[in-house]
Order: sequence, then structure tokens, then C-alpha cells
Amino acid sequence: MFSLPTLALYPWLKDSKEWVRKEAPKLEELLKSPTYERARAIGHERLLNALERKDIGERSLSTEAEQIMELLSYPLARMIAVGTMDPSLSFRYALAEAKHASRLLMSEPLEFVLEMCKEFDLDIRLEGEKFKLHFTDWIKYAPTYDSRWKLVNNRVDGGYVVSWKRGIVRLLQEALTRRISNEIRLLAPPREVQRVFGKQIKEIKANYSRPEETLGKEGTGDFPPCIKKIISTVTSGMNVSHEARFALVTFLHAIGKSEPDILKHFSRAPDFDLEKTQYQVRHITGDISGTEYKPPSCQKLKTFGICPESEMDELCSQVRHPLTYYKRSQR
Amino acid sequence: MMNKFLRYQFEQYYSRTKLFPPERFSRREYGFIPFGEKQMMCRHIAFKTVSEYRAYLMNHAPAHAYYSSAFYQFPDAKHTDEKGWMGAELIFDFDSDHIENASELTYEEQLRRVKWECIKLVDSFLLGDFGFDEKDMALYFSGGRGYHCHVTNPRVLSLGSNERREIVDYILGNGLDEKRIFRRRAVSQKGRWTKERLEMPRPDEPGWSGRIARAIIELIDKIKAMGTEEALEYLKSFPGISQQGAVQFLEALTQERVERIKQGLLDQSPAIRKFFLKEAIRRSSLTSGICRADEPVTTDIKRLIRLPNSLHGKTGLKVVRVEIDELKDFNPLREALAFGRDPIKVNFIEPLKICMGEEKFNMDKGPNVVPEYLAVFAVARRIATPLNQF
Repeated sequence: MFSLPTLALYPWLKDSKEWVRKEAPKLEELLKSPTYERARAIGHERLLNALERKDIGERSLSTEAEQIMELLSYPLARMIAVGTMDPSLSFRYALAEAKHASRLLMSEPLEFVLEMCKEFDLDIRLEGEKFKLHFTDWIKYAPTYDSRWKLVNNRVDGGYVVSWKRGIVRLLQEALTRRISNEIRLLAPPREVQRVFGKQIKEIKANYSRPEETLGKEGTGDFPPCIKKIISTVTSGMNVSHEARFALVTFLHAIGKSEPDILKHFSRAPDFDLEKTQYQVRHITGDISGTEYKPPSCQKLKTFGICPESEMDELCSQVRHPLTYYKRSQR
Repeated sequence: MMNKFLRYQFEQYYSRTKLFPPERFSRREYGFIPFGEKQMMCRHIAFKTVSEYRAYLMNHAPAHAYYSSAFYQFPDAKHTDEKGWMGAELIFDFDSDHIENASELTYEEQLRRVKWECIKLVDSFLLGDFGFDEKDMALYFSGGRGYHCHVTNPRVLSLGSNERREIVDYILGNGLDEKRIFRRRAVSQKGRWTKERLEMPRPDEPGWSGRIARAIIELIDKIKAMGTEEALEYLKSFPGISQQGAVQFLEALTQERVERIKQGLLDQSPAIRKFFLKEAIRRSSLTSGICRADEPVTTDIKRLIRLPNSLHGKTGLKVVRVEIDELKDFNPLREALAFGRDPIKVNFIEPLKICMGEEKFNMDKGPNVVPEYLAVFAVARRIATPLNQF
């Protein structure tokens, strides 16, 4: 088992959960006793930092008491996140936890990173400075929408992909984001949480929730399955790849949607930043770059894993471009 | 009449053969297409016992039989979402339908071409780069014009559609980045100017790097073996290479230069480099046409594929397992025969020249008595009609 300071730094470890299960006070006490006032405050802070700065933040861990409070703050933060009943907030929180962990892992020794991989049942070994990870694990967690991470652009030998610390830590970040968001999705918020954190939850929702009702009112019935899928992913508050964003913006632009219309589709993305998105949209639509980008073809969408092949319909098999699909389905 | 004849023959086959169902057969979904014009597939069928499975085939004698590459909790649920997906084998489908100019080739030639692609996948990618073992895969002749390769290693069963797409991209060389293959290396520095040279990977490097290097060397040897005129025409057939470019390239391709390239120094113009890379990928990847990567076979995790040991309604041949070390010598027209040698009289609508079993046949138009296996094949291929009682 890892030592207490490590558990406090990495509260999502199986060992950390085990510690909490054995050592933590009853839920009632954790939520109400003055002893755990500090843990509750940190729990709230974790979530606020996640939504405000995309990182759950760092606190002093020099005494055992501080370590215990930090460790206990993690389950509390998750309860508050679930308490908001807004899956997009929970996802942004999971992402911030994972990003924080990957920052910490970059300064850990290689053997420790290797140990973390075992936590996620990755088939991996360390040879000198190099990691060798089984390719099926690689394609599960690598952000392959980015060409550098595609399997074809990495060295694959006898079933194993050769990678370095930075690469493996990036994969762990993805694995961790998925673990936390999957766990949170299955949690039901105890009623007590609403009573204790009611005020905080209300504030968080008021400040960080992004309204859903303005989205996709005009209907997406004529859109091809790939574009529908991107829209539903973005609006459910999940992260989508650069390529998928690019495909969505170019598509909406090509069918004549205005800039505000395009922007509102992104307003619920976990890392939404109005100015940045505005800039990117203007770049793609040719407002500032001078180049008006066209939506990618079906072939390209498939290569980037954007085409939801299992959801393809009759019309899909007749066209090679999402715009053709749209034009035909309008007839 | 044709269908009646075929159905009778298929019935005979299914009643005399003790069919062994596929692995984990009760977790699979089955689909069947009966004989007849424009017949729909009956899907969502499941079997609990082997005798149930055999009885179905015997009683229905379908023209085409399929099963799911996926395992389900409830394989007979009517909606795919309700089936409870538990995992799926990784499938590669090779079909000569997709070879360029397939119609100009004979059936036997088509099969040979497809087989080479299949061997490339198994040797170079599955056993090589992906490190699978022979026992992790099963190869089947499809009964028609191709092969199916099933990867059954437990690691691949849980892979989703996007992850399988990555594997397809890998074997097709889709999205391969030139900068990752050819590396720039600084050789000297003069003030602000750095002299760089472009290095090619070594041919013995693993994965795509070595594959590209080997293909480039092969390509150079091929060009060197051509006459000047032939080489010029060959080079010019590639986009971006002009007459002048081709001449310059050939002039520069001295024996000394060839040696330099083989040692890994690739100081060529961008057009030539592009040509090298594109050609090398084309030669060493699987041809997308034949592997049907554009059709969602490999990436579809809920697809139905041909049932092993069933018969193919358009050939009368059997879907048979091919051992990997036997693939090179495998001849479907000898090894996938499901019928015997009893003489049967059929009427040939077209002349047919074919080598089947151990015999060569040269049939003219008109009625003729032939072995049962040829009679079924010819009727199924619609080049003969049955006579006598049918």
C-alpha cells in the first residue's frame, strides 16, 4: 500500500479508496462534525478550482492532519459535483482532477509512473527510459484524433508501442478522466449532501452551469449522423476532438449558419471559452484567416474516428461527403 | 428450378454432415437467407444446443448462413441495443469484389490475388507488428471470392469501433506522417546556416519505418532494372513528376547514389520524396480496396459474417478453416468442395474452363454429365441449369 502522503496526492487510487473505507468516519460525521470542517472546505475548493481554473489546486500536505483532510476532501468534492445534477459540471471536474494528476506525475520517477499504469491494468513494461505499452491499451487511451498519437505514427514492435514518460502520462490522464467520470455517473447524491452543501451547489450551478435550452432549436433532423453525434456529444458536456470541432464548425458554416448560431453549440463544452472559441470559429470560417475551410469528406471523418459507422444509414452509403448528405436529405 | 435443385443439394449436405458450431455458439446471433428471388435475411436467431443448431440448418437449408462476430447476453433480442454486447472478435474481410478490374480476371486469378493480401495481413501485421500468435487467429475461406480473418485474442474482444478504426488505419497506412518516417539530421553548422540531411529509416527497423525503407529499396531496384525509356514513363505516371523531373531523377540515380540511399541518406527533391513515400505505402500497406476498409467490416462490432462450415449459395463451396501455414498452398476449388463425385446431368448455358478437385474441365455449351461438385458450382454460379427431375 502507498504511504498516506501519496494517497493524499492521488486520492483516486484504489489504495486511497481502501484507506477511506477503513479509516474514514461515517458519512453523517463527515458531513456534519466540526472535526471535518476543513475536509468539507477543501472538497468545495476542489470543485470550484476545477470549474474556475481547470485544475483542482494544491494545498500544503506537510502534517498528517493535512494529509487526512486532503484525502477526505476527494469523496466530498465528488458528492458536491453529483449534487449539482449537471453531468457537464461533473465531467469538467473529472477532467480537472486528471489534469492535476498528470502534472504531478510528470515530476515523479519512472518507476512510480509504471506503478500507476498497473492501477489501470495496462500491459506495460519499462526498459531503461523507454516504456513499452501493448498496442490495444494504446488505442484505448491515446488521443488518436491528433495525428502524432495515431498508431500508424508510432513505433509498434511485436505488439508493443514504444513511448516515453510524457506519452504514458498523457494516456494515464485519459484513463483517469474516464475512471472518475464513470464513477461519478454511477453515484446517487445522498440527500444529506443537498442539506449540507445546498448553498454551495446553488452558487456553483448559477455561476458555471451552461443553459441547454438555447441549443439546436432549429432541429438537426436533416444533418448526417456524424454531425448529429458531434452536436449531441458537445451539448451533453463532453469533450470532443479538434477534428470533430473543425468538422462541426465547417459544416454549420457551409450550410449558412451565423457565427452566434455556431457558437451556441459549443457553449456547454467542458472547456468552453467564449473568446477563444469565437477566434477559432472566425479562423475556420475565413473571417480572419482569409481561408474559408470546407468540411472534411466522409473518408477523412472515418480516418479521424468521427464517423459513427454503426449509426450510418441508407443515405450515408450513397454519399461521400456530409454536405451531400444534408442537401439530399432536404429534398 | 435452379433454386429447387440447390436447396435439395444443400439439404443433403446439411443432413449428412455433423456440423460443429462456432466457439461460444450460444452467445452468437445467427442470420439466414433462404433460396429464392429477393429473399430477406432472417436475423436475431439464437441456439441453445448443438442439436437445435444442426436441426435448423438441416430443415431450412439456407442459401447463405451468417453469425455474429460479437457475443451477446441475449443474442435473440430483436433490437441490437437490447442484446447486451459482451465483446467481439476482430474481423478482416478480403473480397475480390473490390479488386480493380476484377471482371477481367478469372475466378481462380481473383482468388489468388485476394490470398496474397490476406497473407500480407497475417505475416506482416498480425504476426509481425501486432505480435499475435498463430493460435490467436482463425482464417476462413468465405465460400465465395475471399477470405475472412478472425482475431480471437482476448485483448481485442473489448475494443470499440473507434479503436478498431485505428487498427484499420494502421494496416492501410492511413494518416502516416512523412516527418515521422524521414528524419532530418543536422550535419554541419556554419554561422546561422545549418546543413541538414534527410535520413531514411533502416530496413530492419520495426513497424512502418522499416516497412517503408524496405519498399523504397525494392522500388529503386525495380527502377534500376528498367530501361531508360520504361523508367521515364513509369516515373511520369505519378502526379507531380514532370518529364524534366524524371530525367533529372534518373540521371542522379547513379550506382553510388543508390548505395547512399540504401544506407539511409535520402537527399532527394520533395516531389521524388513524396513519390517514394506514396509508392512505398501503396506497396506495403494492404490495398484498401481488397481489405474493404471503406465498408465497416472491421470497425462494425455487431456485424454478421459467414458461418464456418456452411455453404455459400452462389458457389456451393464450403466456408472452411484454413491453417495459417497452409494458406500459401490453399486452393478453394480443391479444399472447399462440399459435394462428391456422383455424376449429375446439367445443361451448360456458357462454356466453362476450370480446374476443380484434381480434375481439369473444359465444358462446352449444352447438356453434360459432370461430378456433383461441379454441377452444384455451375448451377449456383448461374452458368448451368439442372436437368432431370428438377
